[in-house]
Amino acid sequence: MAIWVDVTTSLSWERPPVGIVRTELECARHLTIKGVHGSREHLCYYDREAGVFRRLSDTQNRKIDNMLLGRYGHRSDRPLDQFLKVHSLPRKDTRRGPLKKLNRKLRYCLDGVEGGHLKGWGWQAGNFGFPVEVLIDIEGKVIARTTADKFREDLQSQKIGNGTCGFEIPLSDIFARLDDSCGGSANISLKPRFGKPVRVGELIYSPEAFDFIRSPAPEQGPMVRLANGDTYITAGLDWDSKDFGQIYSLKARHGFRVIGFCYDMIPFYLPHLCVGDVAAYFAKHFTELSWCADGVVCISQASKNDFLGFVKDSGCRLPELDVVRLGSSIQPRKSREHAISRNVVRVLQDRFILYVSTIERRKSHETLYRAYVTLLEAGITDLPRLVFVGMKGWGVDDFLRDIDLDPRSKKYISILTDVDDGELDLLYRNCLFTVFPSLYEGWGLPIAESLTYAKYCIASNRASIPEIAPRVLSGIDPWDINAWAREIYSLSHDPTKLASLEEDIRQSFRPDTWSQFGEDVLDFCSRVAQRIE
Amino acid sequence: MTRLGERSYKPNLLVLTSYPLADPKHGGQIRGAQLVEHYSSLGWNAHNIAYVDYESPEQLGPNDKIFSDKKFHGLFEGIEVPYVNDLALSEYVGCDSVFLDFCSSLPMRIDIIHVEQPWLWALAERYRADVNGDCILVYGGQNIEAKLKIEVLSSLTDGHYSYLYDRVYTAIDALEKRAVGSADIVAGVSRSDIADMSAWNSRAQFVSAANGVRSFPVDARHLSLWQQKLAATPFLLYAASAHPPNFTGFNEIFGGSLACFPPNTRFVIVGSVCPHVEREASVGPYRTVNQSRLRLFQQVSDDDLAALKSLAVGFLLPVSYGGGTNLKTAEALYVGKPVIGTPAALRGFDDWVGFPSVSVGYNPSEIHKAIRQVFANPPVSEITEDKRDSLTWANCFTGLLQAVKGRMDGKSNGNLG
Repeated sequence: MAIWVDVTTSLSWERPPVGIVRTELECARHLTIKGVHGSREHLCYYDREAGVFRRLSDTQNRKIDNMLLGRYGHRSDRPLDQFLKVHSLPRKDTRRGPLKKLNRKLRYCLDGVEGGHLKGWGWQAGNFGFPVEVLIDIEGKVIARTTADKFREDLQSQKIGNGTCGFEIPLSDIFARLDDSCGGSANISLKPRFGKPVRVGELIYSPEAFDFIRSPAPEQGPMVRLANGDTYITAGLDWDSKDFGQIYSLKARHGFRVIGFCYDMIPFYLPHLCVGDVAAYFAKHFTELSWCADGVVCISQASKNDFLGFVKDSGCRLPELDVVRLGSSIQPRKSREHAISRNVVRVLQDRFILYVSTIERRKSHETLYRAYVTLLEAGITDLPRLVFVGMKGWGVDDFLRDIDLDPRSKKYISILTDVDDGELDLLYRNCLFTVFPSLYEGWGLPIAESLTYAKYCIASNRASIPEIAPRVLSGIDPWDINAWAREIYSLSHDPTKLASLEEDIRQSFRPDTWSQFGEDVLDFCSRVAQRIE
Repeated sequence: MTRLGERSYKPNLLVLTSYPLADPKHGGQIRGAQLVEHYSSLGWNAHNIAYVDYESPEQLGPNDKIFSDKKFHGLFEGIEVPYVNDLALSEYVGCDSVFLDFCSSLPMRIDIIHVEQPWLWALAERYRADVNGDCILVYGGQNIEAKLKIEVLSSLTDGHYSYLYDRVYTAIDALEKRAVGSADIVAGVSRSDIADMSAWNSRAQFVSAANGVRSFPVDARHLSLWQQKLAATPFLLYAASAHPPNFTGFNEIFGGSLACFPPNTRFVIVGSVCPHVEREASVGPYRTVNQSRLRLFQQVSDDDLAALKSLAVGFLLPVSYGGGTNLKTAEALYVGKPVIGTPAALRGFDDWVGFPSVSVGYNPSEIHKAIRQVFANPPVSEITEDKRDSLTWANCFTGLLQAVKGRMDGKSNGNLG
């Protein structure tokens, strides 16, 4: 009886992971074990179109392994060709010896990189049936190879052989064998059937190229049938990727157990704080989840209460519920030669307070903006920089425009996006304190993260937030702007008070660990299994 | 021709309705057609005349009349009011010209007039007064109409005509009491209705004549067709007309949510109620869930319905209000499968509610729980054949037919001297 962990969301994630993706990854880390081939056993994903579960392909396994090591597909603003170049060497006749004139000339072209592949063509007249071999090597050691035997219409029209002399090598295959800690170059050679390899070019790369290469095009893993008694755990963005109605039918047929997650019921209870009218969409999701799941992990008592309320009102089935706290550790990546981004460097040079969150209406960044304006209008100008770390979300265009244009606050507020774990680690370590004025949360992971760094957090008093550290934090109504202004001023001007609060944190707060999270989820799975038996 | 008093005399009976019986579809039509059929089974000449709204698309019988007089149609006290055309009809049939036309269309002397609902009572009463003093008058009460009318108006007109409610109620109440007061026999569909009418100062004989069911054999071809169409999906069935109590309050009954249906099950609804249910179920935060659980089939034949009843896991009756007894409730109970209904749906079937397979839901939570239960663990029916047979039209009309025959026989014996 196996425990299967679904990683559908992680497989399609290209950025540093937000809380839900992190949770899915931590389920993969703590609830599965590595097999003899090094990849984690019993990882799967859900192919919604086919309505089946699939094991991961080798490429997908590598992606998850990388993500677990803190390496994420990272879409830089700069295109790939800034980090990866294909250089063709000058052509020369490489034929030698008395039979030189008998040897046919090797013709080739390196087209460059396209669609995640190194492309080109190579052909030697008179060698029909024996295509040219393409070799990629580092100092003579071959790291990737293929044969130039792909048909291309353009080659046929140019009468280059019969057109069947193109080649493509996936960059992921090449880069899998390279050291990602530094840049370098790899030789590109063509080897005719009878002859020695001819070096025709080189692939020159810098370390940033690895970020692009690690986001491979999706490919399908083999179908897998979950067995009677298996447990299937799904913790991702399931309302986007799963059809629980379909999974319900699969479960009825094969008898496996389902453990789902409820992060929050915000789209159902507070749709006005979400994108569009989403209540009906999420009502369907939670209904099907309730019917399908034998157990649902809720990440806070507040979420559990909301879920219970939903089940009561909607009339759907009530699965077993449990509250499991998320871990709050950030894993900095291993150091790299490339610099921390310029924007982060600039922030680190100032006194600053930090708000880590997607910038959207529910997170109430406007509370902080208004608090700052309140202080500024009162003549208080020695304020720390207010740093927002997060992606832009919904419903904040006007707000962001205000921040950008308001001359009073413009120089005090910075927005950082695409901050990786290493940079986030630095920001937490160097901030004065953090803030979190959210209107509603399922948990509030950045607050826990802040406390892990023994950094005080001025936090909202709504929903699940008071559950995070009730002995350490006192909450403020996010709509009480004056209270926020007073508290921000107080903590940024009273180092003694701040130090005392930080000492309280060190004494009282015990960070939740992801390993404890894993144990708690496993324990819940066992209890659910026993109840069913 | 045999005459009254002669031993081989076949009484002439007329059933008066405000809807045609030529092609019975809704409950009232089915009931009316069954009355004609069962009176005929006594060996009597039973006929029907219906006074039908000119806007009705339904098939008319050979003797049916059209109600279109603009002086009355759609009006109450000269005011255009929706849903009170039956009350307007009662005013119309009080006219001399209408009565004369009525009499002229009668094929023979009528011995018994059975009037369903109070709207056409004036015709029967005047016939006895002016044409045949020995005519036996039977009032068939399907409901306490005054109360029902106000419920219909308040649920469908957003209180727009609330200033007329008292007057509408008074007018209909007066009609009902007039009918009960002057009838020889009053037939009620439930003990509760009979108790209410008995209190109206009448010397009539009160009898029970509940709504019954027809036994309809299942056709193998239709069964196979619906098995394919519904792909072996377990479902609860609701067959209903567009009569307002059948759909208004749908959201109140379910709390707006059909999430109590497991993902692989459906709520199959048939009949003219479908577009109304679809509209009701398509509002609110559960609308997507609701739409995923509903299968609606507006037009189905009797064979289709028989097949669906055979395939259903059980029956769900979300009737929001109304007196009388519900035809669809009787039909559902007769099948012997689980039945879940509101108190209004199961009104008049109190002696059925004690069975494990019959559930009454007083609020959304109870309805949801009953639905989940029926799919997870269908209750075993303990309903006996005799109990089921008590629901047939023949059994339901036994008391009425005996009472009417008794009166008729008494009149005949008197004439025989």
